[in-house]
Amino acid sequence: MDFSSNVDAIWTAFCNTLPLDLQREARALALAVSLVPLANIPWSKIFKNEVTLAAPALFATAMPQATQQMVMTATTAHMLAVIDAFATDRILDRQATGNPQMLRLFKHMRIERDRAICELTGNQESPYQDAEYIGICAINIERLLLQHGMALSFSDYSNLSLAKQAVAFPASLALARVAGWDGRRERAIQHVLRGIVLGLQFHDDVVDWEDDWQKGGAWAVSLSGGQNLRDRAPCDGKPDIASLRRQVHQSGVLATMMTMARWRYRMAARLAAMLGADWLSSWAREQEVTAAELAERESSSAGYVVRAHRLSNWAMEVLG
Amino acid sequence: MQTAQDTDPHAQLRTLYMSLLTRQEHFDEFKQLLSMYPAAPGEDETEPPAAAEVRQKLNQRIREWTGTPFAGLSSSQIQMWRAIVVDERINVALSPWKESNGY
Repeated sequence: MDFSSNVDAIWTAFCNTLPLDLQREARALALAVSLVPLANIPWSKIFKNEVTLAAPALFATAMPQATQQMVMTATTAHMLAVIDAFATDRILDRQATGNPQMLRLFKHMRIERDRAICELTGNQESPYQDAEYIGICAINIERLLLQHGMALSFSDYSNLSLAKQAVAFPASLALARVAGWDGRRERAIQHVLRGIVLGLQFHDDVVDWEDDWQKGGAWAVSLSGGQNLRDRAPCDGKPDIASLRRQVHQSGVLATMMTMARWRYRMAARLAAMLGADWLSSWAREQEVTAAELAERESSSAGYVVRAHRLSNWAMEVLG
Repeated sequence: MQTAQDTDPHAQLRTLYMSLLTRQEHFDEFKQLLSMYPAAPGEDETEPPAAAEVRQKLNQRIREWTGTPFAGLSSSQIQMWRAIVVDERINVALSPWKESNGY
């Protein structure tokens, strides 16, 4: 199955259902919420992986009873839920500015998301109502904690990260149920998704910690002492990134976060293999290997992951 | 005796890359010196004296970091590198924007 084409086809089909005045808004959404720097980049090209937008379709490869219609309906619900969550988060995070047209678009996305999941399950009530609420609460709690430079534990980190991504689960779980999978395999799907979303989240939080700090707060700071570090900021209130960087590097927290990502991917790969979701399993295995290598390099050279990310375009251009 | 790393420009760049990856202070200084270099050449396409001074300093520091007789970066090379490393302009459209789902 060509997952990328499906993702773009689903978005195009959704755009065609919108009132004319919202169609342009929808086609420019990724640019409007600053997920990409240019217009007309299809959703399939925005993320490095296919799991983020097409998770149900990837699990479906192991579900012989899942029809093409079921898979497309589940992927539609999933994709609209995830795009809505991304866009909303970027507005809440003030990385993008909302406007009335955009809010109308989000409303249409949620209606279509709920319609799709209810069509799939035959239920009247959409599980996304609760998932969306849990996600937004977690985002707001995280923002408050990180903004205040609270010292936080790795357990806080995992729990909030998981709650933030609550919308990543319902469509794949619903698809499993309608495709006849039992509770044991359904729970396995849940664990695979947990592994993947946390692995991706931890990796991102290492790569972006300095940018996150500049925008308000970063897990790397809170996990390595929090308030004590922020107290070292100069009197003008602007964070002293050089001092913070030294402290974060000395704490070794970035290597720990990357190691956490590694183990999450490992768990996801093993369970996905048991379920027969081979593509997903080998993808998670690749992530595990990458995370292990980065954890090792980060451990021997603090700040390696951030520098590698910042030099990646240069390396591609100059070293090939 | 000179090794390939001493004479091959590509190997020298790779050595520089590894130095920047493994040493935060090298990375910071590299970026700082690149940012001090003017983004565009002078009106007559000649390199202003202040810019030449920054370029010489950068090349000297690269030789010290890598321990190689680094041939030195030209004005146009530094401008390209500045665009990529400091301004993050080149190839951003081709690079996946986020590593993952960070909402």
